[in-house]
Amino acid sequence: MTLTSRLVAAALGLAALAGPALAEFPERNIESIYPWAPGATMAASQVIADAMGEELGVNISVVSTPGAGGVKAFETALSRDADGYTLFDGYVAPLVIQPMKGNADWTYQDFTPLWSATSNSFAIAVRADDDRFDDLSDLIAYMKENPGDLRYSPGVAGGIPHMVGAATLMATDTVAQLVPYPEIDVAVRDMRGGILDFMVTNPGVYNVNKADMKVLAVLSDMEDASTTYGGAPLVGAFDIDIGMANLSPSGWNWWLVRKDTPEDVVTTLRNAMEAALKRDDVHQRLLDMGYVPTGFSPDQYEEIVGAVAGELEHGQKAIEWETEKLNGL
Amino acid sequence: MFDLLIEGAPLYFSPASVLLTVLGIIGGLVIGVLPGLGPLMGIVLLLPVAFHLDPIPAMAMLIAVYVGGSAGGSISAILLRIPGTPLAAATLFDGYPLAQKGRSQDAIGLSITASSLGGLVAGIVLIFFSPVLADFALNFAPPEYAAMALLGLLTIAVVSEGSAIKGMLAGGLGLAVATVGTDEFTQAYRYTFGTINLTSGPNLVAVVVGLFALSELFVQIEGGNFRDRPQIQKLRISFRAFRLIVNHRWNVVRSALLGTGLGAIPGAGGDVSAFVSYAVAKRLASEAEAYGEGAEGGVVATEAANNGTCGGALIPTLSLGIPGDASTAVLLGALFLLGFFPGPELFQYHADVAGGIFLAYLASNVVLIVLGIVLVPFFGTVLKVPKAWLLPLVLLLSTLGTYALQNSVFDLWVMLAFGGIGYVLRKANYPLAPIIIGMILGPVLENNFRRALLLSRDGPMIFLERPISATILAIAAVMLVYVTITTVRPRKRS
Amino acid sequence: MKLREHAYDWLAWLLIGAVPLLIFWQNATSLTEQSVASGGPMSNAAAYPAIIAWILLGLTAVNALRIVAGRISQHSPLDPTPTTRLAMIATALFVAYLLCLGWLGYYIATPVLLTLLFAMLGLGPIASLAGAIAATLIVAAVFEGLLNVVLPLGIFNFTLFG
Repeated sequence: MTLTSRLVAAALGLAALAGPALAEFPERNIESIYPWAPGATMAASQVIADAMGEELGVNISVVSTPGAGGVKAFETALSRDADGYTLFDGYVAPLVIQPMKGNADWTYQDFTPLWSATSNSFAIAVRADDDRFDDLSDLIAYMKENPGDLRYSPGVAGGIPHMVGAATLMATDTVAQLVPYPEIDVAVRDMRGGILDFMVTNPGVYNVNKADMKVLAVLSDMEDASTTYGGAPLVGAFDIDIGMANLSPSGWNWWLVRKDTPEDVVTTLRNAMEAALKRDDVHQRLLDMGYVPTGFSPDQYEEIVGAVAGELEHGQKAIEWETEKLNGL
Repeated sequence: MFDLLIEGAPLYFSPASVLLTVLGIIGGLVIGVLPGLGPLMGIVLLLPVAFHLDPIPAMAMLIAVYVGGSAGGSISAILLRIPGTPLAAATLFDGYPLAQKGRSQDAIGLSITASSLGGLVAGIVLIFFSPVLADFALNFAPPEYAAMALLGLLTIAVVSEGSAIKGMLAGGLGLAVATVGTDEFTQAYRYTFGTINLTSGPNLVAVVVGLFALSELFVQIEGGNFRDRPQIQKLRISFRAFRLIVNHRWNVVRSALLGTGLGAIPGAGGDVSAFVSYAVAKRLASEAEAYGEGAEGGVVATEAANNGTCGGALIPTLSLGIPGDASTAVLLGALFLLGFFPGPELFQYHADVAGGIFLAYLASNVVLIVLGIVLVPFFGTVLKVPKAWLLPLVLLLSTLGTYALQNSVFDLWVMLAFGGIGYVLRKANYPLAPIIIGMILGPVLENNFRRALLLSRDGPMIFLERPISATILAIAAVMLVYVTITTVRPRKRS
Repeated sequence: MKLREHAYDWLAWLLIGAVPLLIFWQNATSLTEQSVASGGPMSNAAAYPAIIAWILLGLTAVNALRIVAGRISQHSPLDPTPTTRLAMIATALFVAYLLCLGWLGYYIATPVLLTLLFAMLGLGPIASLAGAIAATLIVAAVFEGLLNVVLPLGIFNFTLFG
């Protein structure tokens, strides 16, 4: 319908007739419910939303709905109709971790997957001019000699960066004082000021603060991850097995819709998202922002997400191990 | 200091930013002219729009509204003897008598030019001082930030209008509201009463709109006179003020500097600085007896000062992340949500953004002097719109603006609830701004407080062991003692 | 007690005084159940709010003494104006609007609310209706058309500019 004809329809009081049954999906703007506060990560989702919207001929607006570690966004999207007009920006936290902790009553199998979007790995970084630590081995050796003396921040407590950080400490049987920062950017400030000794960073923060930080190890076993940190070594190079592989030690999101969404709508959305993700400009923009497009198809969902769920239990255990160690200091 | 401007230039000088500065000034002037609404409301109503823009155009628009709104209030003060905003209350003293003498044109011209020039003077101070202060704040760590937040909040509570106790109660209420949501350290749900909607706390914008706009609408409806069209003199565009203002050049500079200095102290808003600089101008004037009877100098002093306050209030906001007043508190919140953290790192890592914001502030004041003069007849028309039209429209905009942030009807209930709270507190003569500042500084205070304790491992001594945080806390303590003394001792009030 | 002269002061007092009690109650129940009400700064989410609550409680107590002792110079009596009733009705209309918004959708609920408000404030019926429809459409065009916001659709699933 053109704008004029819609206006005429409205004027004639035909509002009720303009229901969804008459038109082909999509005939109005779509919302993607994003689980965090606005920021760099939201910009990456917006890139995909814009491209996908262009493919569909409507706007997809990314609606920031932070709260309860992502659960609020999922609850919000679940409360909407299963008509394909509401997408879940399915971050691993609300999708896998929160149910695992008992904070949500769904599992990843309760959603219909579209395509996977992006992933970003985490890395251990110290001050650029910190000459105590040339590489990860130095850092670990120092922590072994002085347990609990160093202070580190993984950003938010309990998140994936915290899991991989704790898993690294557990694998090497070392301990450092945890200092959480809801805003990881602020942790960089305090690391530079000497308050923190190291941090678990993400590529976005690394990109902005390159000059002030030295990446000791990328906490991943994927070669691609190293490139987002200017070619820094992977943690495996130091003979450390953090007990998490593939996607597990990284942040990632998989776009989803409600389980009972009509099949033709799901197909339309999947095709549009595939086309959007395969565009070179989209690919490059995401990479430039530090996000690696993962490009897993809907049929790989079960296999990949299922595996991640198991390994995140390990990360959860690592955090519990760390808490005990810190309490025992 | 100029490198910041040079770095910011490519960011600011885009068609979108310049256009939004112009629109922001017009919007700000209109909202300032309309009695009851002020720059804060303008900023709040445009927040949802801002979040759909790039950071610099968004900030340009919000800052322009802030500047335009602070200047616009004087027009209704001069023409109707109703200050459009509390900022313009002191403009009444001489602006209205001037208008009575048939010089409303000159009075408005003077107030606009004084506002604009005052703003520019403040802009220079802002550009000079913010990086210096930010540089100093590089030494800040969690204990200092916690102490700073505490001091900022205490000042705001003490300096706001009304009694200090009520100011502190309002600030404490803001701090309490800020604790609602998901705790950042334990990830526990705090005071959410079982609803998922509260897991990120009540939406700041919903609270601001409720406290300020909804309660104001209620008061306005109680005020009656919905269909009155005020009688005002016919207004034409006149550039005579450019010549008149030259006679007051020292007054402009002095008042603007006073305004900037007071503005930089968190809490001392534009209304305070307007009254102070009015008093100073009167004392120094060669014909002091003319003040109050329609002296040009009176209008110039108050308007230069209250726009200077805007620039001043931006200094601690940008360099420390401690807002100078309620409007800058919301600006600060906007900057957060756009992905930037005001403070030293803004100047270090996002010098272009900081520079862009400075340019936006300067440009706003330049645009103000042009549009403020050219659009005078239009403002005369705006003032004639009866309240019967205006009030429902403000309600609609408040509602949609709040809804659009998270597409949430729950936020609208939050807005309504805080509308009720705002009304009661307003009737009981509580200042409302400390609530907002408390909400914004609350997380800063709590997170840094707990972080500092984690860092120290042996309790709160860390706050006293570090010289800067100890100094800040000492200042706060002195202030507290002072307030206690003045509160306990009976005092005469006029 | 000077209840009349300081009616709003007492109302505000009750309002603010209830906050620390809420905090203590929740600390003792919800936060204790989540086991985040004890321990060090990392695991204790209740300590900081409790400090705020004690401060509020202290200030509230002082404030009560001040009102009782007549140390508050500005009175705040309940003083309804001739149009306070209108303001109450407007509030009731707005509550009804919020209740119906999700169900009827923006395009039906908003013109009704605006027409009633305009008319209530003394505009003629035709002007009220026309103004309400115009305002609804213009504001919707900005929010849906320019800002891509999805306004409440209601049971008719209707949108104009989306």
